[in-house]
Amino acid sequence: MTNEIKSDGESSQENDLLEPQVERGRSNRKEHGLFKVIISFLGSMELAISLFVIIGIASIIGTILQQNQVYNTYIVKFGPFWFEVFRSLELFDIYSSWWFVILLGFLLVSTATCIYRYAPVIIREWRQFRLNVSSKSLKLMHSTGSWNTETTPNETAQFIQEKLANGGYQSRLKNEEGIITIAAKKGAINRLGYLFTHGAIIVICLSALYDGNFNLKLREAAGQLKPETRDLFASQVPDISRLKADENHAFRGNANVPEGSTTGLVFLQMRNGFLVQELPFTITLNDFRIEHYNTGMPKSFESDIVIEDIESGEKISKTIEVNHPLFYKDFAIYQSSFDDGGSIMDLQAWSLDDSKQKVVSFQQVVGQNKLMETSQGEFKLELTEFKALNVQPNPKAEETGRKFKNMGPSLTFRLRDSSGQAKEFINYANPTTQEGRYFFLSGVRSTTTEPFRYLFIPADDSASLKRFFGFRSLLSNPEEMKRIAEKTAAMSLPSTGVPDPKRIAQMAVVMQRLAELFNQGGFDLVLNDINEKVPEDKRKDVQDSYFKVLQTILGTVYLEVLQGENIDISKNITPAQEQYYDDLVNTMGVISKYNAPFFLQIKSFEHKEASGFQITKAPGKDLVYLGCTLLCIGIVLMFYVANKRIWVIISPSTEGQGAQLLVAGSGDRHQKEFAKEFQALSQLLDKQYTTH
Amino acid sequence: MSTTGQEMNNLFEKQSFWRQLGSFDWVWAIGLVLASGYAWQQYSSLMDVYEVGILFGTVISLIAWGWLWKPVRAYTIAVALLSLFSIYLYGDDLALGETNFFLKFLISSKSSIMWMSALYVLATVAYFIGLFIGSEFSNKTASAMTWSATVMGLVGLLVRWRESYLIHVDVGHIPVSNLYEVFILFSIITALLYLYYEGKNKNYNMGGFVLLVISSAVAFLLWYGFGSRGASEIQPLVPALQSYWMKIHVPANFVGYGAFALAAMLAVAYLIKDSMTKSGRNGAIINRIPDLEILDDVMYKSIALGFAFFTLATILGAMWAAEAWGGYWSWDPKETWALIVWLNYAAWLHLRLTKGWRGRPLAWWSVIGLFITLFAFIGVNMFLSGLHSYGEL
Ligand code: HEM
Repeated sequence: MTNEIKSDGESSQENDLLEPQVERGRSNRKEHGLFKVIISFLGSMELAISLFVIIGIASIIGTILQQNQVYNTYIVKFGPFWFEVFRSLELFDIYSSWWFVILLGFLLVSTATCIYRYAPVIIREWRQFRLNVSSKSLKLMHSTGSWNTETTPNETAQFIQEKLANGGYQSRLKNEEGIITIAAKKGAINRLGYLFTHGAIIVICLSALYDGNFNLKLREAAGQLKPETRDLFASQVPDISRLKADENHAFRGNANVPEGSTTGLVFLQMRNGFLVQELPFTITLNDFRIEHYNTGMPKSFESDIVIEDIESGEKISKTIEVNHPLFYKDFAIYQSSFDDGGSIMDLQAWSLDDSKQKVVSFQQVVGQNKLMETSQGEFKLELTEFKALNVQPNPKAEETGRKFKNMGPSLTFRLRDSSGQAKEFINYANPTTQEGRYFFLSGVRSTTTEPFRYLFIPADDSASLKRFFGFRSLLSNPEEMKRIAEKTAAMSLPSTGVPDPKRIAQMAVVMQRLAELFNQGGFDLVLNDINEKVPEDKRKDVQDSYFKVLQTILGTVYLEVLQGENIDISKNITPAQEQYYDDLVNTMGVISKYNAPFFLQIKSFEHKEASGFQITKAPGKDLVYLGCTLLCIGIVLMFYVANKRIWVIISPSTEGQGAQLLVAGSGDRHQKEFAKEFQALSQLLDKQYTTH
Repeated sequence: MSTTGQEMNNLFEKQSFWRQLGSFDWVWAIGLVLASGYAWQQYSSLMDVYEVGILFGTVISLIAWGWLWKPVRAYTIAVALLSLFSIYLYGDDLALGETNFFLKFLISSKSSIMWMSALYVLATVAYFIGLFIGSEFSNKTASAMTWSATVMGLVGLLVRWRESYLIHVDVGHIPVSNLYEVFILFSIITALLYLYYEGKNKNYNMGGFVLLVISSAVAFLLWYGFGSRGASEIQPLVPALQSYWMKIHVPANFVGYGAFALAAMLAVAYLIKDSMTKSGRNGAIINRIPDLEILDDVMYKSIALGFAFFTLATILGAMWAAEAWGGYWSWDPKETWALIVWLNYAAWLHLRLTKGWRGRPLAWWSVIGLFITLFAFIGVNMFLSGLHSYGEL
């Protein structure tokens, strides 16, 4: 074996001295012609670096272009032409596209080739001491020195081996015709680092590939599988999009399970479609809980689930939460999301139509739609989201000392008219306080990007909407209003003199008309009316007197409503009742802007949640971890174990019994550190021997 | 044979490792053992197996660290005393942070961070003065300020940890959960890495360059933490972050980022010195910058260290993901960018180790590497959405 250590003239640094030479590695194997060319291409550093760069760039594209969105989103974004181009390049699902997997495959092959070429050299360097060195090559080394000894070569060798052992070096000795060669090494295991890191890459890539959906893609290409793109129930999905429990060794899918329900299926996403994967067990969700911090941020998501093995009937109950999945056989079940599982809402729609006042009660499940007949036509009521809790920053944290308050349950819904236009509403079930008074809150907006504008409807003494809608209903009833207007007019005219029936009648007409305008459009409409009909110079006076009149009749209506509630109004009304009146009038003034056919009140509800599970089977996981461990060990060996070598040649002196000592060494990638070490050795030898 | 101290330390003489240790080393070790024993005795009933393991693991690594890099001892003691004093002053009352003099102006978390910020910026200036006028005094002051800033930064984090528990037990968590907190961590780690090389090479002149990144981090930190975003407020953890993995994944990542940043700044120094010498303009200032060879070597070591920690951090991240998201790899933007950073430095290392590249091209590459790293670190949070969107801007 020729293991000449030669100083590399080209490199200014001595680092390359112990480097595995590609030439050497190659010369060790019998490689011919084409094979040789292929191997040297696949194992070339140029290819490796290019792959690093190309994979890097492809990955960047995948992070900039959002992956796996609904195809429509892309069409809207890029237009049909570019959409088609991108789709055919599989840019919407880069990481499992053919070309990306092929790139990774190249990296794999390239790394494997590298190992194939270097491994023999590496192992040799790790195991061997390299006793075949010549004095000439030692003298060429960076760290080198020579001494004369008075001790015999054998004694000298013994001394030196002892010292080398102290310094942590292993050494071997060769005695050839009286010339003793000692080869010592330390940290040669550094060389194994190469095998570990590069072997790790192979292990990791292969196991990750095994866990990926490559097999499904192959079967899809062979026409055995077809992802379903329609919005179907699991039971309606045809067989070509279904996978039996034992048909797929690795997958990652999702299942949404409402409380109290059971499922034995998961959905595997594939580009813009999905496959239905059957499981060998069923999952039942008994309960789903969300806990909150007092800031309203979620603190934990937990699901109580029961797993039942379909074959053995074995049952396991467990609570899973984020960061605490359930591992069952080869499967892992994760808490990944949550949703409404079809909460049942008891609702009451109070008509806001000012001609027909009525109240409808009904039940509806969240997530479902219902057609509602209203005076403004047919509307589709879509219940979109129910939240049992709404914790929000408390604007009055200073006073109350509580930073957050719970607004209670809320229901988000959409009202879609026959032309397809929809408005979104959010209604709170419980009245909330504002300056000590209670209001029912409803937010409205016409696009999801704008903020909600809120309508506050005052809650009456029994925390209900009765009084408010009673008032409205009275106001909308022409006969009743006529009666009330006449009564009010009679009372409000000056009591001195004889009441003039004509004036009273006139007054009553004005009153009724003002009340009607107010009912339709609040004070704004009244003002508009005045502005239209009254010349500018008189407006101010007319306004004042009209508002006075309006207030009078509204007041009377209010008193009648109170009376209707069997409240004794012969005594003074309470400040609370007075306050209620102000709030009522304020709300009535703006309710026309709410512009909805009815106000939806949440009477009661049965909250049902659904838990989103991610269910995975990844048999390659442990191998990936093994690879990761190898990778870490390899990196530490490569960077932090210094591979150092020292050689000593002891030749008998020409005169006397002493010897000549030639010592040299190299520290591979750690030359500086080694130079210090060599200096220490030299000092020690200086003391013992005379320098040559 | 006479035995002088120097010979005692000769690697090739038979000797015991223990005899090399000085008395302060022993005081250090014994002190730590006593402190942890006390902690164990007081709190063992509250700890589970892992926590006991962590406690003693920490003590052992601290002892070893202090023996291997001596300044760690004084540093740890300073941090411990200040943090404990702050925690003691707080008692159970978070409101004292606003009223107690020491807390309000010195060692509440916010004030410590402010001190850290100010000291880093001052140190940057002092290092540059040192570099330009060659003042040893300025250099030493800068170094002392950097040490102090690093003390204050860690105190700030530790006290913040305690403060989070004072808000509410439920809220309590290790402060590595949002961008504000990790920027502090980044500053400290980068500074420590730099200080290690400074001590080892006895050269102060790279300080200005390295502290420049830290000062930028500080600027970001102040803008992000105390600007309109108020990220310096302690927030409770969302469920996805409530995991032991976070405690090791994040710090490991930041050793990586810190080391890459250090390497990039050394590369800048390298490039400046190289082009100045090439164009024949090597005045005193340029001469004060360490030799190109040293810069190149330290840059390599720094990237090697960063690569090792970054690999570890990415693996830990994968293991965490396998527990939280249902898969060790999801091609989430943050994960993908970690891979990009990793591939980038893998390429760098290959070019250096197998192709024998040195000097300018690799220095440029390190600088570019910093931008890639920076994108993975904040850019992803700013511009891309994904599972990792905790620290959004
Ligand atoms: C993703 C794939 C790869 C990774 C992560 C990787 C990682 C590394 C690392 C970290 C080193 C560091 C070295 C040291 O201190 O010596 C290294 C060295 C090396 N790599 Fe790779 N490598 C990969 C692929 C390849 C490929 C494809 C080749 C073949 C062309 C290759 C050839 C080498 C060689 C020859 C060395 C120097 C070994 C030595 O002399 O110590 N690597 N690699």
